[in-house]
Amino acid sequence: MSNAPRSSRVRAAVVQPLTAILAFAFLQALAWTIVIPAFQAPDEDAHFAYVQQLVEKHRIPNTTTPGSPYSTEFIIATTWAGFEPARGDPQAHTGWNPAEETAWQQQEKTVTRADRANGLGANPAAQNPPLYYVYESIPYWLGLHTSSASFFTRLELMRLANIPLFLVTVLFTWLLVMEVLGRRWCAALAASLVALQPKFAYVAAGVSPDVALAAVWAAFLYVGVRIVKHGATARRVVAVAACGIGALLTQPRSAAVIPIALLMVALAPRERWRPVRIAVVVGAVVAAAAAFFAFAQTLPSWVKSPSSLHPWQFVSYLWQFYLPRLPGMDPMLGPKYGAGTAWVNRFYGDFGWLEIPFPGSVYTGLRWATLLLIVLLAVGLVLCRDAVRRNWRVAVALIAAVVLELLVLHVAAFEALLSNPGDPVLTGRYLFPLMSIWGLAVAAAVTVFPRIARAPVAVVLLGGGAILSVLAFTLTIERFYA
Amino acid sequence: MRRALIAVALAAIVAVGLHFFLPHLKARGISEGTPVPQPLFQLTDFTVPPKTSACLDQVALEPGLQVAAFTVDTTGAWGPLRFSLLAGKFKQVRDVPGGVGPNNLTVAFAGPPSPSLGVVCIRNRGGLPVALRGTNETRTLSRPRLTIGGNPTAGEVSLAFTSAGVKSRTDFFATMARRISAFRPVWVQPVSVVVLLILVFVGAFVVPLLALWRSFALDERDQAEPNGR
Repeated sequence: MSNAPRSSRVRAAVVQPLTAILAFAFLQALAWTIVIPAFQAPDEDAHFAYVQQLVEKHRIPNTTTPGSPYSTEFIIATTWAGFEPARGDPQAHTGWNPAEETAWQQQEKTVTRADRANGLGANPAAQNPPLYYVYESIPYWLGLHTSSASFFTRLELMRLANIPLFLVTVLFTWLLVMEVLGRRWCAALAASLVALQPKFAYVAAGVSPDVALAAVWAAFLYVGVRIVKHGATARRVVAVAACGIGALLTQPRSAAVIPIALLMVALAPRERWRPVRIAVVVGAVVAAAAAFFAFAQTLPSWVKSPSSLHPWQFVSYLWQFYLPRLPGMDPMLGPKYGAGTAWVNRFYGDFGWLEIPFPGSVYTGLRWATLLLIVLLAVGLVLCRDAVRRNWRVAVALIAAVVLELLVLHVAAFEALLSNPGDPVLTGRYLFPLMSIWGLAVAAAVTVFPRIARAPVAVVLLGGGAILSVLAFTLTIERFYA
Repeated sequence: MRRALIAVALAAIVAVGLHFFLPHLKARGISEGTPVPQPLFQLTDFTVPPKTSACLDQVALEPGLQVAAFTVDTTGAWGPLRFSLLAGKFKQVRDVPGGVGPNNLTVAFAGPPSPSLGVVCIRNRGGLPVALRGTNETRTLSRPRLTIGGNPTAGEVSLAFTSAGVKSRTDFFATMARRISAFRPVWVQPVSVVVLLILVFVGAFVVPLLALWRSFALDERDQAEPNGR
């Protein structure tokens, strides 16, 4: 291959499936960054304000200081563009009138550095560690200091900086599926579905650590599976530790990386264990955990006092989140809200600030598809038990990753519900760290079908993904601009 | 057999796609702006005394034939109203007959010749006070500032504009592209928005399927040549 003419190598690269999928994913992500009005992605205003404080004031915001976290510049821009009233209100529209834009531009010229830096009040995003915001400070700073970029241009540059993270998630989905299933068509199916996943693409187009978390987790899981399959080499150990630390420094929801990393090293082939490498991983994990909790400034209450978790009440809450309540069970803690809404509706749809849903029939179809996926995976585990037995370590690692991450999410949500029963906390984008495993699961489920049916089933899935993606664009455009 | 199944799959995709997308391709009217949305949780009525105007300034006005919508919340009789728009040299005045009880009112008007910022007033020409529905919710309050009888008033009267007629598909898509490119970097223009969206909409269906087809071909080649070249 390396001796082939350069034009042949270039052509080969261009026609390779992964290249095509990544190129499409790039264009789609670019389109979303432009279509979504400013601050109409979940919590984008708080994340932007965090970055602005970091760059303008060189300080990490907190969650306690009185006042507004939004700078004067922010308020001027969003007032002229009508963003605040539009948030979550489907009858309201953002601004699009050229006279409004001209008026904003004239007022923007009077903005000083002090006006950009005075958003000193409590910021809900400040509960997140700073890694993602340091990353986003680069496009913000570059825009400001190289071209005196306007407020909205800086925001767009920050959104564009998310695109590499989106592509990394798609890439590591491909790599994970190749590692586990070994077939290109499975990898193409999984990577394409991740790229087409409408809610993931929507959230990734806004300033949000969710896409960074998905990227870091996708890399973490791939390297972890390589450790489980091929052993804990020095490079893999360093990589998985780095990814795990990166995840912890991006979002507190990543606490599950600690036990997952330890499990993956423990599952590595014994003959390739090296005490030093294991010590490195364990040491890195312990250090990251210590830094994580130091940043959080407190241990979760259930660590200090496990009984405060109310074990039976937790089990009841967990059961009723997924299944109907059993006779004798207490009513579920919190509002009527379960896996169907959190893990299906809000994993695939409910765009904007949750005010842009798919049609009900789409959610019904997706819920049935999710049940079918679970059934097919269970059937596949039985039908392919010999293959599963041969690769039991990988299966255990992946299943444990899903279970542990879900457990961490549910424990955190339950703890929050105990003090505030009105807010269910959990929402679909919290599953984005498991995006690559979702793609792998769908591809694995398709392999359960007879060989003659696999291509047609894959075609249906990709067609469905394309329909959802284009429908999401259509609904979003109509909601904000029509 | 496999090709037949794939053909069936593609036909199913087309059918489902048409089911979801055809309704969105119909020509229809559109919003021309929502200067002040209706309240979400807390309704506030603003009483306009006789011979007094409630005015909202900094209202974005678009060209073209439109309909303004606002709500009278008076439980009894209320007198005639005068709806007016003022933006520079542009002025439009429309009279609304009086009525009884709460009423969602619509007023047809022609917008200014070019996009502008203006003042919208609702004058109570009757002899009885009239209550206009609005909002005092922090999250719903927008840019326009309300005055009643020239006095600044906390809160805003709810007001929305829609197109008077149905927009053609071409006009609709052109309008969407123009609106998407507002408040964006200078390199985001309506043409680039249209081109990008066409590439993405077509690419969503074509690229993954081509990648899948190519992957199957490469897998079959690898199986046929297990030792490589």
